[in-house]
Amino acid sequence: MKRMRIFLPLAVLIVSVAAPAHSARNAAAASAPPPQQSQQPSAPTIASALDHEISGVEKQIVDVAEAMPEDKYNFSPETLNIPGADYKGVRTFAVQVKHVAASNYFIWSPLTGEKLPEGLKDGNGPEDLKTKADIIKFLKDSFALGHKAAATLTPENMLQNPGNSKSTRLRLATFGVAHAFDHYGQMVEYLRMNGIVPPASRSKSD
Amino acid sequence: MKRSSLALLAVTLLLVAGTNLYGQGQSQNQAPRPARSRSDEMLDRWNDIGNKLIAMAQDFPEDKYDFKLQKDQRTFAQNLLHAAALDFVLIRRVSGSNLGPDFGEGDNPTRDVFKTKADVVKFVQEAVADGAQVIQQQGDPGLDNTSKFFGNRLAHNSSIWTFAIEHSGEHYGQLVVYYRANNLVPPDSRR
Repeated sequence: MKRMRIFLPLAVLIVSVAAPAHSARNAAAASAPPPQQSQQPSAPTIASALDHEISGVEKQIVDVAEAMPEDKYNFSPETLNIPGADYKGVRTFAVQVKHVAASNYFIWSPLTGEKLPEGLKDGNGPEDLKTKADIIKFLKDSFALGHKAAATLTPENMLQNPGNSKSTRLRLATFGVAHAFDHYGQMVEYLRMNGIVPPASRSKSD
Repeated sequence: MKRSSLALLAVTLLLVAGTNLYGQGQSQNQAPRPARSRSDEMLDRWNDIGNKLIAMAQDFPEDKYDFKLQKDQRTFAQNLLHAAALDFVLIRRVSGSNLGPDFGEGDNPTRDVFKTKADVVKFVQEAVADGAQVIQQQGDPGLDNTSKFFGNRLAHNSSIWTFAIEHSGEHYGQLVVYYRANNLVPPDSRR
C-alpha cells in the first residue's frame, strides 16, 4: 500500500524473522542502532527460521481478520459494482480467511502426518463456519498446525519429500507462507475498499 | 479471488503438496532426480513470485498502468516498481555489490524514471534475474552468511531473501485485485 512504506513491513520482518522483537516498533527505532547491532546473530535452525516466517504471516493475517468488522465479513468487491470491474464470484472476505486456513491444513499436514479436520472438503473451508470468532479460531488453529510442521524440519529431512508428495518438506513449509501472503495482499485491498486502514499501515500514516 | 476455483486450488495443491500418483509408476525407469539444495529451493521461490510479477507487468495494459483502487494507494506501476526496487536494495546488501539502479534507501521510484510499460517490465525483469543470479552464485553457504539488514542490523541472508519473496507476494495479491477491478483475469488464474 502507498502508506505501507518500507519501514513498517521491515519492522514486522525484523520482529518475526531476523532479530529480537523489541526494537522495531517504528521507523525511528528500526533506524537507531542498538548497542549490540554488530553482533553476529546466532544461527537459526531450519525449524526456528520457518517458525519465525509462519509467525510473521500469522500476525499479519490474523490482524487483518480481526480488523474487518463482523458485519463486513461477507463483503466482496462484487457488491461495490465498480464500473468496468468484474468481481463476479470472487471470494468474500470470510472465504478469503477460510481459504488461507484450509490451504494451510492441506499444505502443512503432510509434514506432521495429522489428519485434516472434519468438514474440510475443499480449499474454501467448512461451510458451517459463519461467525467472525469461529473463522478466526479456524485460522489460528491452522497456523498452530504450521508451527508444528515447522518443528519437524531438520537439516536431514528438509529436502526429503514426505509421503508421496512431489515437494520437499522445505518447499511445503515455505509455500504455506507464500500462499498466505498472496491472500494477505488481497485482504488488504478488501479492508481499503471498506475505508479501513490495514493494521500494518497504521502506525506511520494514520 | 473467485476463479481460483476448487479445481484450480486442487491443481495447485497437487502440484505443490500433492500425491505423486503417476510418478510411482515411473520411478523404476527413471534416473533419480539430482539432489535438491536449500539454495535450489530458495531460487524456486524467488523465481516463482518474480515470474508472476513479470507476467503481470507484461500483460497489464499500458494505459491502465497508473490505475489504483483508492487514493492513498500505489498505482499498478508503482506497486511493481516498489517491489522491484526493494528487491534491488536487498540484493545489493546480500551481494555487497552495486547491482541495479541505486535509489539510496528508497524503494519507491517514480514514473519519471520509468516512463513506459517497457521500462517497468525491464526493471522488474532485471531485479528477478539479478536476484536469481546472486542466489545461485552464493549457493547454500551464502544463505548462512549475514548481511546488514535495515537499521544496520545483521541478518542471515536466508531471512533477507525470504523477506523479499514474501514482500513481492503481498504486492502480487494487491495487484490481483487491481486486475479484477479492470475486468481482467490475472495471468496465473487463467489456467
